[in-house]
Amino acid sequence: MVKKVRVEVSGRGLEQFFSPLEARIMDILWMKGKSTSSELSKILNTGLSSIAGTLDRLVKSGYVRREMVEEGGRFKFVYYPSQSREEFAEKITEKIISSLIETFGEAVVDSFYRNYRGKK
Amino acid sequence: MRENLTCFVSCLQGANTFNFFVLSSALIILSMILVRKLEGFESKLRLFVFANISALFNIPLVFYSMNYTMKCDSSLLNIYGIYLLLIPAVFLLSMTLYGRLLVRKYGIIGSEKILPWIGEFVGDLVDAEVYILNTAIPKAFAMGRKIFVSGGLLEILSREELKAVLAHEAYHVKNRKASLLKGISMMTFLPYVIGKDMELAADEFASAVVGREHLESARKKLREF
Repeated sequence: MVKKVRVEVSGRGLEQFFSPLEARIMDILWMKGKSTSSELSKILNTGLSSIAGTLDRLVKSGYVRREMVEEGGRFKFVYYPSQSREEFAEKITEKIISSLIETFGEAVVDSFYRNYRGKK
Repeated sequence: MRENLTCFVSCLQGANTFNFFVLSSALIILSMILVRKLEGFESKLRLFVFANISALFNIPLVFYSMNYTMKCDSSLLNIYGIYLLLIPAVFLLSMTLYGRLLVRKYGIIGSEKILPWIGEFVGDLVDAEVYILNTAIPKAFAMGRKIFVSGGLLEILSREELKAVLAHEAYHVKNRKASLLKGISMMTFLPYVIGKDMELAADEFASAVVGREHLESARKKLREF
């Protein structure tokens, strides 16, 4: 079987690496820099319990980190992306290219050289 | 089955323990019926303890009687004997292991740094340690002398609501001996009928400490999460 491969690290492309809700949360965190569960719940119009469960999962897998802060006598988790979108893209690219090289060897390097030489 | 039963009776009669066995069994059944009817947690608890202790006392009695005459098949009884030895071990082990499992699964947020007043508030009620689990999902429970609340719980509750939940858990720590009853009732096979009353008593305690309205609103928030 011939599979079509298409990798895109923006919008719906993120869903290759995350679940739909995880991807939307990551998008917002990358855009805003930080957020809270109640804010994410409002923006995404999604129940607090699924937001909380998803954030737990993202924290556990290391894509998001959180800090507990006090705000007017109340306590809140503030969530930050652990790496920027660019860093994330670089890691994914690295992963894909090294797996390509593992499979096809020098042909990949040749192809990159021919196609991307001089391009930025 | 019928043969076994008549043999069992004759064994007890042979060892002169039959009358005592019938009497204590009747008392146990009577107390278990009364436990369901009675009002008031304290008297319920006392009666339930009495029934379980009586049942526990019957166990060596039966073992003694069955071995006294040596006429009956006691293989079932021996299996029960092994079960009796295993229950306390399994019960104690699962208590400590479950706590550690949760701590490993979620991790702990340094509670002293974040919430010094939580420790103070709980410390006034009972001698317990408070741990904050690193999860956004609201949770609260007590285990032995430890109280676990989650970061998610701190997020959604106001200070007074949080106090109500902590007071509820503090009551469980105060009455942690009662949780041993769960293990004992597994040994005696008497149904654990005081679980709901225990929760209600903990709620009463929390209401007395911080006021019922805070407890109710905390419950509502947790239900709607």
